Amino acid sequence: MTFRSRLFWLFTFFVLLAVGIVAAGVTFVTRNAFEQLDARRTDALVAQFREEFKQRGDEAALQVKGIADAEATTRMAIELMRPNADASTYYWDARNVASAHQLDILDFVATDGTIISSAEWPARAGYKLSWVTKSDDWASAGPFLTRMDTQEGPMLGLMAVANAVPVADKRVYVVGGKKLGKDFISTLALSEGMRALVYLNLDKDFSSDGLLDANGAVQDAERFSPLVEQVRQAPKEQTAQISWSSDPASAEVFHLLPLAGRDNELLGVLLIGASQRERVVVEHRIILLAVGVAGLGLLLGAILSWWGAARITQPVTKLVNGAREVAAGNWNARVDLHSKDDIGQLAAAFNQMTEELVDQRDRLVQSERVAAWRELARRLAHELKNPLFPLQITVENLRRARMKNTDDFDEIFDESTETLLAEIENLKGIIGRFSDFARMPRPELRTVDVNEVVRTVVRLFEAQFSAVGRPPITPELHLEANLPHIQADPLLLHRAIENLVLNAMDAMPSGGVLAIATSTGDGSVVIEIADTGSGLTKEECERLFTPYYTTKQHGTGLGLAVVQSVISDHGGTISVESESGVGTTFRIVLMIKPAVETAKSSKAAATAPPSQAQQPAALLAAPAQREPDAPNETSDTAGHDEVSDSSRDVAHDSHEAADAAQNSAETISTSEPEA
Amino acid sequence: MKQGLSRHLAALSAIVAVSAIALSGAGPGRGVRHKGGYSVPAAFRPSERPVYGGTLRAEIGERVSLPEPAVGSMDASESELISLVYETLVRIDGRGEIRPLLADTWERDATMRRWKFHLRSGVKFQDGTPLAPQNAVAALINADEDWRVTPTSDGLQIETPSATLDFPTTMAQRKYALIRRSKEASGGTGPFKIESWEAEKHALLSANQDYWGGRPFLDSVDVQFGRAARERMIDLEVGKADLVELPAEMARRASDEKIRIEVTPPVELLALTFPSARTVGAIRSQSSVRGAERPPESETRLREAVSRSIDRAAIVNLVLQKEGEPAGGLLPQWISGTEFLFSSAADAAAARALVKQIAPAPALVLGYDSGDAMEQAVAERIAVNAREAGITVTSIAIPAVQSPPANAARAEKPKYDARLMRVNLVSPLPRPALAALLASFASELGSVDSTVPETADAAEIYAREKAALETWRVIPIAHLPRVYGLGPRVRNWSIPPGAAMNGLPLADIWLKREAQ
Repeated sequence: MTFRSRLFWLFTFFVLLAVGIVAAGVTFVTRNAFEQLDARRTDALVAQFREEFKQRGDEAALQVKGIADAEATTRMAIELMRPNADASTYYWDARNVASAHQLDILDFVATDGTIISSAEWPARAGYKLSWVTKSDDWASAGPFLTRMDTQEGPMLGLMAVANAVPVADKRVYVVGGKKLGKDFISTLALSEGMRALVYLNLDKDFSSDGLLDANGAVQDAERFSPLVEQVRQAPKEQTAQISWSSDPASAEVFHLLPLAGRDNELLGVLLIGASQRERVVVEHRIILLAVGVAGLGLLLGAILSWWGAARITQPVTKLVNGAREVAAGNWNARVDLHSKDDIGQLAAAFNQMTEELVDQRDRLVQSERVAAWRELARRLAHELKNPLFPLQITVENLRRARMKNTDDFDEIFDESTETLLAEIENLKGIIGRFSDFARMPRPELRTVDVNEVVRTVVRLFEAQFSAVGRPPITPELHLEANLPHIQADPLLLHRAIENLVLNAMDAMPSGGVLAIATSTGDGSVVIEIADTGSGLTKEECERLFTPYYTTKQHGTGLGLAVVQSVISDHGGTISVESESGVGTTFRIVLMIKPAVETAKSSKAAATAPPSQAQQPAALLAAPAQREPDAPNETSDTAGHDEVSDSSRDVAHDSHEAADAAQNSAETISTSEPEA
Repeated sequence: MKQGLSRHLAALSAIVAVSAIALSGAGPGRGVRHKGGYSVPAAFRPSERPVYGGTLRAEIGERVSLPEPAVGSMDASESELISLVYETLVRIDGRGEIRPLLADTWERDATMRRWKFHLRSGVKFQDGTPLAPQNAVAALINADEDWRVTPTSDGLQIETPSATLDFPTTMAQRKYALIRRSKEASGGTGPFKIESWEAEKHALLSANQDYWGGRPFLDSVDVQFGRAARERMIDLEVGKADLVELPAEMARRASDEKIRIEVTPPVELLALTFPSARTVGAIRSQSSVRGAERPPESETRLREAVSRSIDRAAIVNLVLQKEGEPAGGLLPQWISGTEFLFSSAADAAAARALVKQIAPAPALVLGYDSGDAMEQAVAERIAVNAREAGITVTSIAIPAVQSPPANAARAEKPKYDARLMRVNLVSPLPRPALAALLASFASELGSVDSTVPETADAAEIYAREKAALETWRVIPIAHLPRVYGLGPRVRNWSIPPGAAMNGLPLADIWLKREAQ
């Protein structure tokens, strides 16, 4: 995950967290506020209902008392006391009186409970209303809720009973009141979003017809059945919720208030519902707002994170790119940052570092060049001095013989010229070897059986392995049977292996075992050449492939450099492992299908370390010539030697050498354009 | 000449009436009730003499729509008004005897199929056209498709397909009134003619100056239709009306409030009816919804149980405020003389015993006329009585015109199982009265023979009546009188019991002149 992504998600997380906390907090507070408001409104409505209930009851009681005390009622009582009294006269009286007093229920009841006249059910005249006679003190009973039978069916009435003036121990009961129904509910002042319903508990089971609101029958009354049953089971104030649909806004919270009769029997249930729509809508809006804020936060977070990341990561990215360029060899890479913060200081330090690196590199190259030139001059001087001394002696002998004019001058002359020619040839050989190294041929790739190359090389040296006067060397071949063929230049490969075998033989002056093994690697072929010589030190291993470095008295120091050059031109690698007293093993890895084509081999050479590719190229302009074994004053330990490719035509004229040097120089300049 | 004679006859009858009242001790201004087969004239001051002129303001509850007699049954009020404008060939007097009206004599042949009516001379229609035989034939030629009506030299001959002993009684019915129809208007020969007629609202009748019986004392009669009973009584009390029709149940209260009322003998039957077997399928399917699918015998038991549960006396005493009589039979006692043979007493125990034999628990829907408060109260009382017997009866209001259709299979199903019906008695004579009643209940009685032979005697009439009631499809509840409230200006009001069905006696009354 990039720094920018990390910054974005971090910013987003905190924005969402903050918005979520705020939204949750506001929602919580809002819900609490709404619940408290609903509770207050419900309490107010319940109080209003109770007040209305009491007021209606008091009104009914007053009206019933007034009717009972009226003169007409007294006259009725007196008339009914007479023998053969005709109660039918009063058949319609209750209806008329009830209409005048706006009572829904009014009954005149005789002492024995016989209904004299009934407003709500005139046809009941003559029948009994026995419960009225069971109390003698209706005056103190006050209004009460009771069930009344009417011709439309049972109903709940807010009733009162009063006695007319007793006549000769006989009395007329006046039973009156108001129906508890939709008219009663419609008198309640309801806040918006609230509604009041009353359930008339008149049947054994829940009846939809018993549920009324201000408009009468209630839709979906069956949904209230569980609520009513809840109160029936436990007649106390309760709260319950009904969700009318999957939409939370459709929910209503109902406060259930049981309505009891005189004997505390459950006669009805008042249901005060508070719609949750307003609360849900507000909560929904809060959530929408939170989502909007979160969205804006995300957008802002994206912008800020992009901007912040750009501010922070761009310098870092520039530094990374600069470092990568430096790693790729472009030491002239600079980071273009001008800020004064830490990143800016880091960039300045980076730029300073690269500048110093370039300076140091330049200085190192310069010093290495000088060193190389010195080494080359020393070696050339050393190599050339050896033949020059015999030349000088021979010329001086020849001159001396000429001056003496001896008889054997001709013989001396012949011997001297032969010697001169031999030494001159020696000089040409020395110069040729240098030229060979400076002008390595480009590989001409073809399908090569590595095992066959190895066998050819071993056969070439079979005679020397067991030469007389020399400790025998035992070659051991461990060649993989089905080794895949590779694309390589067989001659160059042969030369490289030949050099390594020769080096191994030189490393085993006392004889030993030369083991050569081939194997298949990961898309490559591995060649291992091991000797049982005295081994190399760690420092020797590190400098082993340096041109002109040798541990032998007669070596030129170019053998392993040539090997490395060949392997490198094939896109392969060579490494060495050595243990003192045990032996040395060279390991060559060649790709079966080298990615490095012939045309690229020069580039591969150019990207090689300067110590390997630069220093000799500029120096080797002379034609190559095989160097004979000559004493080397710098060699103080047993070491390896290189071999010249006698089978290859390495005769080069001076122009070819100059071209090679020019090519190498160009390659170096390409890899270091700004050096 | 004849007009003067009529007036003199009326004055004479008034004098006789005053004498009778004086002998009976009835005081002026006090309400007088008519009960049974005798009549007592209304009271007026002996010193008063008949006065011509004035407009009688009448109010009735019915909304009369047609200004002439319709074929078929008519409402009582409508019938009363029609009789003022249109007259029949004969009439039934207070004793129930056939008397001449437009025909002064009549005769029949031996087969009793051909009846000749000799028209009264000097009679004119209200448009001035003399009542000629051709006019009489034109008025009756379409009265009955089975009749053959032909003119004679001084009247007309009606030939019936079968022998009819009391054909004149038939001809006394209002629907056989002689009407002259012209392009301009229709008119009759009655004492009043129609000046204006606003259907269901108002009618103005004016005195027929050329009335053959003499010009009526009143100049005109202004009738308001469709006034509520309470409004009618108030209008009468405050003097805005001179004559109002009152529901029977209000008679007592009106009397208590010192309102002058006139009550006729029972002229109307209030009955609980069940649809006949023809419509029972429709009804039963409806009943089955209420879980009342029962075999026919259980249905009969249910109807009998309902009948036995009804406390008719309580209905008359309480609902009708003692105006009317509990009805055990179809005809009232004063007409048939055998009504006492039918029990009208409630027998709740018997009803409960019958209900126990019925399963499932019986439930009925009882319909009543939506505009009739008395019917509603009776229905509610029946429901209470039936509930005591274990029958659930729900009363519902139904349109007044709703009745089981002749072809119930194709018509809309009734919304009730039983309904209350009020049927006018068309004649004080038992046979035609019963015949008309049975005809009215034809749809309820179904296959029961609803005809009454012309030769039927009292025993056979009783048997026919009993046979009709044994189906329990027609359950008599009460016989209702007709109650009128009269203003203080009205004089010479007299309705003999036998003439109770003849309509309002407006031709013979006059109005007391207001003090100047």
